[in-house]
Amino acid sequence: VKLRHVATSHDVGTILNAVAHQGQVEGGLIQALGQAMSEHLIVQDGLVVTAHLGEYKLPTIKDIPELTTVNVRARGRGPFDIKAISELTNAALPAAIANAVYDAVGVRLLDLPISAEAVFLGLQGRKLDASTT
Amino acid sequence: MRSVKIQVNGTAVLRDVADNRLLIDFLRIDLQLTGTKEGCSVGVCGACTVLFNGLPISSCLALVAHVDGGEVTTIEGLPDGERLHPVQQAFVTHGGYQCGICTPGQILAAKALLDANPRPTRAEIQHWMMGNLCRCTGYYKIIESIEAAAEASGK
Repeated sequence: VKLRHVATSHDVGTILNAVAHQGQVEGGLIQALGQAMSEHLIVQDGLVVTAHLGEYKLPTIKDIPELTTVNVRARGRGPFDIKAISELTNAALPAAIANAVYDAVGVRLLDLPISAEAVFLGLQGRKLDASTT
Repeated sequence: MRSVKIQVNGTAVLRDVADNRLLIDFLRIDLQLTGTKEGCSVGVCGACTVLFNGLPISSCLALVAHVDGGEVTTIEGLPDGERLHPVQQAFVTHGGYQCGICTPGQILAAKALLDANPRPTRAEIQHWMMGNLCRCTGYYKIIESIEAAAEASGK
């Protein structure tokens, strides 16, 4: 599964700091990319066994897709018509990727991360055992 | 124990250290240069990157004995007095940092890249910088910052 392009749109108020605002959008998206596609916190018998960053794959600077951001101006509730952006941007991407996989090959995946193994087994009508991978 | 002599940020440092003293502990604890950050402690995240004879290394995996006789540059060695290094200034201007833990390592790795290759392509930046993880920025603004620093240097 390769993510080629992400288009993201946000309902924003008055943007106070354009660089920091866009930084929040991008940071949240790449956190979502990691959660959706590579980061796997393995829990066995109630214990986290993914011990360190050598075993837990964060996206690197080479893993980021092309990005289009569209800010849609709306009224904010705060002073100067502001509203939060923060990490709201990481909410939608995992579901969007799962839907794209379903659209492409008909495999409905309900667990993250969405790996090549999960798609392969899904094509055969089988399910990945999350506790052993 | 062993006696070492290391140029740290241009100043000669003479110390007696244990044979197993890690470079990161030597920098942060013995020399109080706390700009170098410890992230994963296993050499995969790049937060502890320093320059050894101009090239990036993970100070969490290097012994002080490894760098004896050489030159070590940490983030404290980059500014010229009050004036930030062009790579530091580009990270500030273009939002190449958020929480800041990976930033010293990112900036030192980027400096080493630009010293070796003053006008890298985007693909070359991504290839060189992939040993430095960042949880906050999503990397887009790190690329922008490095491109801006290359532009500003005019080489």
